[in-house]
Amino acid sequence: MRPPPPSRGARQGPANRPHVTAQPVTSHQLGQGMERLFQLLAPTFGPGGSHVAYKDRGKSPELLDDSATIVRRVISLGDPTLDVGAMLLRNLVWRVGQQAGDGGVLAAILCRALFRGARTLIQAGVNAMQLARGIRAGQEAVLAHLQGLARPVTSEDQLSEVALQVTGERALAAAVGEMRFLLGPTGYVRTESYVAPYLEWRYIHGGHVPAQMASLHFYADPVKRRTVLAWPRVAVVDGALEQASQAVALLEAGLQAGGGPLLILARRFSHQALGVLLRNAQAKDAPVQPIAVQPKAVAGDLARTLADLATLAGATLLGDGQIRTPGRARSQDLGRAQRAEVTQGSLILAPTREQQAALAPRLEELRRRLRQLQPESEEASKLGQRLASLSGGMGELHLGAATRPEGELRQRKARRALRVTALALESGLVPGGGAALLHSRPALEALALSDPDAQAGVRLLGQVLAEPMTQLLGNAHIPGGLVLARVAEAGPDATYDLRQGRLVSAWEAGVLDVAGAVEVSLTAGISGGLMALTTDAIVYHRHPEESLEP
Amino acid sequence: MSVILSISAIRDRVWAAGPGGLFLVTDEGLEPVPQPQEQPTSCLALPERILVGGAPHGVAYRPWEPSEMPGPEWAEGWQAAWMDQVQEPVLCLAASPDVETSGLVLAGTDGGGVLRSTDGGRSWAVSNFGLENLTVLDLAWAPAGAGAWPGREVAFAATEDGIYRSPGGGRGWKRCLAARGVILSLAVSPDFHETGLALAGAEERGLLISQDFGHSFVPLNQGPRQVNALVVTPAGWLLSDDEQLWGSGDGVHWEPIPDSRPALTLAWTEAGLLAGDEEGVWRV
Repeated sequence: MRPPPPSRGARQGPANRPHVTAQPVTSHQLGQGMERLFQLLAPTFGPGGSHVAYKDRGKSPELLDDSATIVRRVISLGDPTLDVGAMLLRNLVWRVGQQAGDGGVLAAILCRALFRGARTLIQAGVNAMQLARGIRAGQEAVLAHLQGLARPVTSEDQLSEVALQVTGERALAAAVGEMRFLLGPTGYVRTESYVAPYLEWRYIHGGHVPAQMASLHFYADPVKRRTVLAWPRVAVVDGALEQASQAVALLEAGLQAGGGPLLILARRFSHQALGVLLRNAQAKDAPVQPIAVQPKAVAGDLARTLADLATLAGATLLGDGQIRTPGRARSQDLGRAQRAEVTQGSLILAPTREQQAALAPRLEELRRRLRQLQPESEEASKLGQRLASLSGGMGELHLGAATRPEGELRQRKARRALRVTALALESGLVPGGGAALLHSRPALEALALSDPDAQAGVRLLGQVLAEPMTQLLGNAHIPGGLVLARVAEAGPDATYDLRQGRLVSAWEAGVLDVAGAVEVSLTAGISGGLMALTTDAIVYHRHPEESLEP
Repeated sequence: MSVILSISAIRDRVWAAGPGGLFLVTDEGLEPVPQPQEQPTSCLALPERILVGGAPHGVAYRPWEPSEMPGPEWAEGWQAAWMDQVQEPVLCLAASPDVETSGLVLAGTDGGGVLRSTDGGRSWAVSNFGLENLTVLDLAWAPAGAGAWPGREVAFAATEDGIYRSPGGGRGWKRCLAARGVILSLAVSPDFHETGLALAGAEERGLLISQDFGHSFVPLNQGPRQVNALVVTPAGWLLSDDEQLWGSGDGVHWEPIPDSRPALTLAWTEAGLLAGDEEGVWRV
C-alpha cells in the first residue's frame, strides 16, 4: 500500500520535518500506528474472517487473507507518525509467518493487547521494568503449559483440519493434509500452476532429479519421450564420457555384473562415446542395453547431485578427480536401482530395498540439519530439494483456478498450509480457536512473584491470553464474554467451534491449532509488545527508507 | 479340479481364477473361459470389462456385458493392459468402491509393488511411494462415503513385510504401525468410518486388528495362527485356516465353525458368500 503523493502543504508539515519525540508522545504514536495496521489484519483472523483486497497501480487486484502477504504489501501508511508503530507490527507479523507459516495475526493480537494493557498500567504508576519481568515470567509458565497440552499428530485428517484453517477450502486441505502426513515434516512438495480449476497430486517414489536423455534414440517410447528400466545397473560419472574406450569399459563392467539394462549418468557424452552406447542400445541381442542420461543440478550443485545419485544407487562415483576413472570401471563400481524412469526433463531412480536401508542414516542427518534452518531461508530450500531428490520424499501438487489472482491465492495458501502442517508434525497440536492460550491461564494463577508490579504483569498476561478467542468470536459476530467463561469452565480439551456454533471437545471436533505456531506467536507477540513499551523516543528523518522486506 | 485363488462377481455372474485359468461359475460347476494369461492369479469383474491378473501380461482385459454369456469366441478380444514397464506378475486386484464413476482400480504385484489405474484397468501406473516391500499379496478398500474430506479414499496393501495404508486412493502409502511379517489377507469393516475397524490375516501371527482407522494393527490373540482368507459380510466376519472356517460377529471374538471346509479365498458377492479352494468354488 503506497500512499498518494502528499500535497505541497503536507510535505512542509511538522510530521515530515526531521524531529525527535519523547514520552508520552512516543507511546501514543506507536500505539496509533500499530492500531491502524492491526485493523487491517484483524478481520482475516479465523474461520469467520474475511479477505483484504489489494490493488496496486497497473496490476490486477489481489485477494489476500494471510497476514504475512498483507504486511509485505504495506510499506507505508502515508503518515510518518503512524509508520513506526505500523512497521514494528509489520516486522513482527512477517517474522512469525516466515517461522511458522501461520500465526502472524495471533502474534499481532497478543502484541497489541499487551501494549495497550501495559500502557494503562504504566500510566497508573506501575514500574515498567517490573511489569516486563512479570510478563516474561508468565510467558515461561505459559510456554511450559502449552507443551504439556500438545498431542502428536496421529492422522491425515488432523493435518487437513490444520490446513483448512489456512486454505479455507476442504478439497485443497484434504490433499495437503494427506501429502504432509505421507511425506513427513521435511518432505518436499513442488506446486504446479494451471489456469483452470484443477486439483490433483501425486508422489514420486525414488530419487528425482532434472535430467536430459543424451540422445532421443535412447527413448523406448519416442512419442511420449519416456524410458523405464527395471532393475538397471547404474554407472555415475562426475565428468564427461569423452572416449569410446570409456563407454566400452562401462559396457564390459555391465556385462561382468550380469548384463541387462545399464543406466549411465554423466555430465556430458562425446559423439564417440555416444556412438558406442547407441550401437549397443539398438542391437536386439546385445547383452547390455545402455541408456545415457545427463543429470542437471539440484539446488545449483551438479557435483553434489551426481554424488547423491551415486549414493542412491550404491555406485562408485567415477571421474578424473575420483578414486576411479570411467575407463577403469569394474563391475563392483556399478550400482543398482529397482527402477529408473527417464522422461523429457527428469530422472526418477527408485533405490533397491538394501540401498534404501543403507541410505537411512545419511537421510536422517540431512533432516536434522534441515530442522535447524529457518524454513524460508535459501539454504533450507536447497537442502530440502536435495533431501527430496535423494530420499524420494517428494510430492507434486497441481493446482489451478479460473483466474490468475485466484490461482495465485490458492498457490500461496497451499504453500502456507504445507509449511504449517510440517510444523504440526514436529510440534504437535493443541486445542484450537484460541482455547490453548485461554486454558493456559491457570498456569499463571500458580505464579506468585514478590513484587506487586511484576505480579501485575502476570495478571496482564492472563487477560491478554483471552484476546485471541475474543477476536475470533468478534469476527464471527458472536459476543465473547459468556462463551469465554464456558470454554474456560469446560476444561483443557474444550473450545468453541465457530462452524458449528457450539462448545465442543477440540480433539473430537478437530478444532486444533499447531502447538509450535502458537508458541512462536506468543513469544513474538510478547517480545513485540515489550519492545514497543520500552521505546521512549522516535527519531523522524526527512526521507525515511521504505523497505519491501519487512 | 482347478485351484481357485480369486472370486469376483457382478450382478448374477460369478467369475473365478487360479493357476488353471479363468472360469465362469455356474450351477453346474466351473466353465473354463479362454483368456491369454499363462499364469492367471486373480480376476475382477467390472460393469464393462473383466480383468485377469497374472503373468506374462500383468493384467489382461476384455470388454463384456453382464448379460453376455462367454463362449469360444472369448479366445479373442483380449488386450494386454499398459503396465508401466512392470514385468512382475500381478497377484491381486481390487476395485475402488466408486469404480463405476472413478475407474479406480489397484493391482498388487509379486515384486513390482502397487499399480494404480484410473481407467478401469486398461492402463496402469506404478504407485509405490512409501512401500518398503514390493510383494503385495492382498489389497482392500474402505467403504465409500461418510468420510469428512473430499478425495479421501482409504486403501490397504498386505505385503510380505507388513501392512500399508493409503489415505489417498493408492497414490501413496504409509506403513501401519506394529504390523510386520507376511500378511496374506485383509478385510475392512462396512462401518469403518465409524468404528475404524479393519482386520488382517498373517501367515504366522494369526489375526491382526486395527481399531484406529488402520493406522496401527495389533495381534488379536484370537482365532488360528495362520489365516489364509478373510472376508466381512453384513452378518459378520469369516476366515479360513488350513483346517476349517472360523466365524465372528464383531471381528474380535472368533469361534471355529464345526465340520466346515477350509478355503483359499472367500468373497462376499451379490450371489452370497462364496469360497474357493483346490476343488473349485462353493457357496458357504
